[in-house]
Amino acid sequence: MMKNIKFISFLAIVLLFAGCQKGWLDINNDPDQPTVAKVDLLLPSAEQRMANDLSIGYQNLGYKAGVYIHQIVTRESLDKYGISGGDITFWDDLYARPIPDLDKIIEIGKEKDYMQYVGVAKILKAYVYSQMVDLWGSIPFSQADSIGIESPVFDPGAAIYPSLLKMIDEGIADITNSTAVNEFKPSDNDLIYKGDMDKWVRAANTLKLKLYDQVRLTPMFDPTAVNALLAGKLIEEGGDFMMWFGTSTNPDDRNPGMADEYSGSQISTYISPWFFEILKGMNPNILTGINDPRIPYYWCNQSGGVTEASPEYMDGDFVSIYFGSDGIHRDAGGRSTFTMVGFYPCGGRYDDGKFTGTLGAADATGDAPMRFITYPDRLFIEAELALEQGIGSDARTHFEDALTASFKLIDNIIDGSATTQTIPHLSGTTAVTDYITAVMADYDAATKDKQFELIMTEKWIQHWGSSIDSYTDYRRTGYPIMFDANSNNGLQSGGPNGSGPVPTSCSRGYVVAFPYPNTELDLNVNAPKQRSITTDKVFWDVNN
Amino acid sequence: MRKITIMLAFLFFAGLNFAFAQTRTINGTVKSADDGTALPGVTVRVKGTTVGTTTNLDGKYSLQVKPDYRTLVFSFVGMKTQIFTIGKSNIIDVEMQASALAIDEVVVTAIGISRQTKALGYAVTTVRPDKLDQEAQPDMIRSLAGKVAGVDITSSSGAPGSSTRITIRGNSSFYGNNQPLFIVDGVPYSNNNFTTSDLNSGGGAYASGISTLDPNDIKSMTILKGAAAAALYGSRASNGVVVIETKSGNAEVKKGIEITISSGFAAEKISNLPDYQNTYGAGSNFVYNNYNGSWGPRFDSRDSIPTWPMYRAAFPEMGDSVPYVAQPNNVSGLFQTGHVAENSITITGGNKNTNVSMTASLLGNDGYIPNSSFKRKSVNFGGNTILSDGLVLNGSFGYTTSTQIGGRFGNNQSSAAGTASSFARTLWLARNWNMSLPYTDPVTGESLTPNGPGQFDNPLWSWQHNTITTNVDRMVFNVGLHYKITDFLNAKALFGSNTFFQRRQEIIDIGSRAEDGKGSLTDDDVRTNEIEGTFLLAFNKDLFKGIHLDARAGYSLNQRTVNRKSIFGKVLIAPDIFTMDNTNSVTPNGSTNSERRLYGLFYDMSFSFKHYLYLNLTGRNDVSSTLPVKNRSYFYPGFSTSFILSQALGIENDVLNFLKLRASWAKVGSDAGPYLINTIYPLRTVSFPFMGIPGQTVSNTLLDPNLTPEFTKELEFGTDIALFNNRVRLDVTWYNKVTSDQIVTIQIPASSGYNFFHTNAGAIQNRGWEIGLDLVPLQFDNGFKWNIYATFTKNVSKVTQLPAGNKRVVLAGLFGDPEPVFEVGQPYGILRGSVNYRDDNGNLLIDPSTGLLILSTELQTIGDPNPDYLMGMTNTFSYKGFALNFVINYTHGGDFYSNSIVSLLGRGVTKDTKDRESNYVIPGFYGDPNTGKPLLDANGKEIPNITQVSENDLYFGNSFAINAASEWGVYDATVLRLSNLSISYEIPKKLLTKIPITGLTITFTGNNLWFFAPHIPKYTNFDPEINGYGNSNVQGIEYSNAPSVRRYGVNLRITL
Repeated sequence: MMKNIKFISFLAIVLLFAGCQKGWLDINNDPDQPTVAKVDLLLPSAEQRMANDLSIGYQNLGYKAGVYIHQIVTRESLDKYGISGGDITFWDDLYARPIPDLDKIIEIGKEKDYMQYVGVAKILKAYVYSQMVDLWGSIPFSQADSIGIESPVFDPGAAIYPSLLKMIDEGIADITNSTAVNEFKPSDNDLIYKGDMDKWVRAANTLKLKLYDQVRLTPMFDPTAVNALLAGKLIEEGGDFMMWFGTSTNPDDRNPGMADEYSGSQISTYISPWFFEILKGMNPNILTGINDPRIPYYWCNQSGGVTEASPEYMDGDFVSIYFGSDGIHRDAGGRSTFTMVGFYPCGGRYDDGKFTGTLGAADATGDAPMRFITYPDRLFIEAELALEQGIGSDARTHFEDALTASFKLIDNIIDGSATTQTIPHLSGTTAVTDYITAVMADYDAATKDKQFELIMTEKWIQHWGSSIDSYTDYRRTGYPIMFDANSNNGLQSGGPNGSGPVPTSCSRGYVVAFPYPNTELDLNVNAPKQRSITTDKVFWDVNN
Repeated sequence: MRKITIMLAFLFFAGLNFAFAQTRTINGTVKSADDGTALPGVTVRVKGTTVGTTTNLDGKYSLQVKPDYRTLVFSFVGMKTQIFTIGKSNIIDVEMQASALAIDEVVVTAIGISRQTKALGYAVTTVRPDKLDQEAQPDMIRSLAGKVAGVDITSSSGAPGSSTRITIRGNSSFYGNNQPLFIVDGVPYSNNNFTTSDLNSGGGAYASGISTLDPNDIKSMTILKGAAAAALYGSRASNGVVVIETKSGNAEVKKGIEITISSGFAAEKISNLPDYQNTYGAGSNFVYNNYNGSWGPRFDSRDSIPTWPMYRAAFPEMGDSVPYVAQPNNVSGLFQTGHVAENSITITGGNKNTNVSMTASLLGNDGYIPNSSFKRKSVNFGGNTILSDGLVLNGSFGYTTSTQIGGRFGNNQSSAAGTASSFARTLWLARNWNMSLPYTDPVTGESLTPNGPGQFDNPLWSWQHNTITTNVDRMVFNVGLHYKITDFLNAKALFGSNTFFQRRQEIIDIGSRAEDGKGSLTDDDVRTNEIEGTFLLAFNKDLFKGIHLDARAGYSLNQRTVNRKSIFGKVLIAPDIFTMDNTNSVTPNGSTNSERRLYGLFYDMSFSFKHYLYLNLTGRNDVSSTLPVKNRSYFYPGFSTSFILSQALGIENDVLNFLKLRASWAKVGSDAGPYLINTIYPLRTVSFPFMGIPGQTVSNTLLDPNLTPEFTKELEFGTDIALFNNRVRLDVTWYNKVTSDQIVTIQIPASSGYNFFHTNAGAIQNRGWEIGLDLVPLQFDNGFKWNIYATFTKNVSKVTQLPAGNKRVVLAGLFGDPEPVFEVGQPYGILRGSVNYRDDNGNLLIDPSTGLLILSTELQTIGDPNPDYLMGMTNTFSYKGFALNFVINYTHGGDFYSNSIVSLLGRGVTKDTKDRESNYVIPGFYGDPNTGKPLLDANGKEIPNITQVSENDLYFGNSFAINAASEWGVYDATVLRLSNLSISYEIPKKLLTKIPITGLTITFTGNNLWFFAPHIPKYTNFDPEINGYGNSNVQGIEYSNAPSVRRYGVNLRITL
């Protein structure tokens, strides 16, 4: 009997701890993550991610384009036009971060009638897709980011552009929809325009203008639409479509171009000697003898630092390496000697000529904006359309205005920056006036082709730090003329100590469009074969 | 149905029953001479007849014999056969001695079930600690290498406490855990490896969770290799199970007290450094430059070089120049002699009703790298007591605290702000760099290097300043209640908890290349807890004559909790103070809180017929919290059989002692991770809050609300054979394991809007052979014995299905080149990377403008990290109290990508690249770099390359080492290794009678004494076993890790 009592009590204990209450297993909700999305939180996320991916942060898309427009030189596989599908990482980020965030804003916004959010999201989405078409040509679009479709088909770029133009129009209509409830509106959480809807409409129209300009040699070009845009609301001085960065290192909200370079312990972004010599007026073909006043804003020399290994290219304190170098010093290190990216492209240091030592994160703020479409861009586009298509008013005026606005843009960025450096304004200075006068004199003396080359070269200079449009411009117009590593078409200096250019070569042809990332080719059953990056062009690239 | 099977089996084998006549009855008990325990299942036979029986569970037998029967033969596998003449007495008690290695012993299988190995229809291996502790190896798992067929063990680095990866029968999961489940005294023991920093760019040699287990407290380790053996453990058993019984948790019936003291000391050194050339110093193409490449001028060609800039600035008194001379010891001088000291005491004692055991141990290991160490202190206590008739209470409690201090390892060739590997340049320093100069700037405290700043941190500085400290406290307890209801029915309840606290701090100090020289701190605190309760009813009875049923039915529940919190502080304010309060800004660095629960019902039925035919049926049904409600309950059965052919046929001779055939089939189900069903919208943390504005994003991982459990199915056949009086024993196993509908986070095309999809997809097959051979080649009556235990392991993995028709999926991103991938029809995690163009005949294409190779734009498969086969051989020579033991391990095949070898060659520091004063022509044909096609001459023929290049170019550029296609960095990891050599002496007991010591053994041991890797560039002396990614699934990629260790030690074991 005693035995049985013990056994029963034993069983009872067992069943007590084993007894599963109802719901014991219903614990599969993550306590740390929201299950609801909010438009006001999605918008800054999408904007920041888009700016980051397109920037000149080390190996970001703008960095890669920067190498192929010969403003940046790099040592890794991109050199000698060696880009391959393994180098493309930001495709994945663009498709999986900003685009789904924007789609979610559109979905929620439509449901709740927050039409300003919907409109802004559509304009941003059109911009991101247009940049992707410009880099890759055919890309997934019509089936991309659709629930239930794991392998979207690739749509030709020429089929995507019209949809983007329509998407922009819808975006403008949503923003200006006066009957919408708009219980919530973008405000400070809109990192680009702080909720200023008029500026969004102008940005949208200028984006359309830019797209029409890019296709002006294709049947898609529509002079009527362009004329309507030129007569309408376009970006004005001070209304640039760009996103400012912050100055915090933790969390790091600085411009990636500056953050990677100044905090890193190796140099990754070398200033192209080709770019340097054109701005110095050393190039025998273009802007010869005209010294650009923007140089101290564009890059910063490290002078007086520790002398390191022999550099490849050295002109005074300017130290860099060559694209396509075969020189014996091509791989030499020099963290404290190489010239670094400066204030204008990414919030690096303004070169006041007084800096000694090694540039580090504390020497600059990194808050300069990522520029998508600027007021000078608008003017350069107008100049191109006037000169080449005869649309709008005088090309010369637009060009001169664009030059003036290019300097004013730098002044505006100085004013907006939290930098503690004293950085002088450019507009109205003698140096700038002299520069503009000299460039316009060249323009006036030039043939129409040369005039176009001058316009595109100046646009390229202005675009420093925002490389993808310059890469597009070069491929569709052939300007500015780029460095040819096989013939060395005009580099003057060299190094060390003026010992002349080092041998360079490049056995691959120019990259006419980026390769597709291996991940997409491996995973998407509807993906095409990898393109030939030297021949498979984007649809607007008809200039040979 | 089951009943019919039993009946059929009974009828079939009834015909084989022994016949006997009635005269008188001999009774007796058979015991083990070792420990006096009763031996069940011993065959007792009358010599020259088929008359015989076997002993029962209490070791008793009863045999009726005729008057003309003269001799009884007692045989038992694993024991020496005993022969007794039948005399007048009707009682013959026998003590049997163990022979060679006991195959046929009692082992603990799943859920604490004790079974004789001969009853098992699947392969298990039990390893006694005395097989392991002769190796001066602080890591218990590491010393298993080569000792268990089917088990692959790889170590991650030579840093103290660094993790060891163990896999059984290959990798069966794409992304999930592939390591076995550890069960200690019936309770799962988490073996998590919490990684804080990315190993791609400089992370720690993080320890795995099992490192907190005290090897001194281990009584036995049983490795359940296949699904059939492990299935009762449920979800996590698909990778096999390592069942560990501790001394403290299983105190044995002993009267009085016994004290065992074990004390060991070992010295450790870096196992192998390259053979460096000391003819050329820094520079390129024989021109001096202060490069980290020793391609410069001969040392006899110039007297001096400019003083290294950082040193010139820090120590102006050094002047403008320093002598240009070789520094032959600049690498070896960085390292020190480390040591391992281990002391342990075990006290056991008890009386008739109660037994207790306590083990306390202290381990200290200072590595060969300055300022690296692993220290462990542990106390384990346990016991059992008979509360009343048939009611036994047992319990144990263990506490371990460990501290690991170490530096940062891995690749440094990254510009990212936070990276600094102490091995970035350590093994390929320029040959003229004087590393005995001060490594700290006396004013700024900054790291000084000959070609700094920024290239790399001086390794000595880095080890002193950039430290990673991990403290772990582990608390384990379990209690059990055992009640004997009737003779044939037992009830058992077991409840245990395993709690793990980890506190880690990673320091980047002021003055490092990383973090802009400003310093940073990362704190990473983790708590995990696992609770498991099991209730079991056991039935043990003869059902019919000759048919015995040993059955269990049970219920178990499990709960696992993980709480992790990590924060990151940037810019240290005051030097040498490492607390978050001393940083400029602090941001969250990821935290997780998760909880999962599961309960399962299971049964295990083992029928035995006449002790030579065994049939085992198992089944388990789990219900898991992590799966969708509709799919969360799932069942999986198992079946196994063992047939002792030798016994069934009554074969008994000096040639064949034992022959067993076995077969099994089983299925194991597995659930998902927690929180992987419901859609979430994570808050943005990278760069956010952005200028104070918070963000949220659509998750880039798509979740599957219809997730189903994943199943592993395994078929296994095997045989165990003993020959020549048990002097040859062989066990052979073949298996085929398929894991399908895996729960994986697969990569999907980003254009879908997601990067990843967590779903059921893909299948992997592992097929292989395991052979264990136990030989006694020599044995003399004077006590001399030579024993060989050899293992052979061959596993062939094959990805049989990938998600949704994908061509390949990437295992892990890493640097992108090379990367481990999965492709259908290919082995697990093959390496894919960049290659050079070749013509159709496989000849290399040469760029006419450079004379060097042309990089292809396409990646290709460049290696398979899975070894072809593994062999291990343990030799033991024993004579009286002396024993000489050595272990040789051999790994055949398997490729690995070595950043270290690429760097050693590319930096021109080893003797491999010493002969360099002539030019070379790379054999090949000219090709077009744009198309990757051969250039043809006027006759349409390929043009042979005649362009000369320098030796320097062969190893730096589009050639064969640095900056080359990654195919050239892949090497065959074949390696033959003398893993261990030990000599021990056990003082004879009779010499100890006058002192209060009952046993004393002294052992001298040497560990990792020699290896030979035939396919590794000769003078790099690189040990191919080092894996850069710890115990993750990424194998065969090495990025500048700490080389392996060699140890010499002595161990003293005293029993009081």
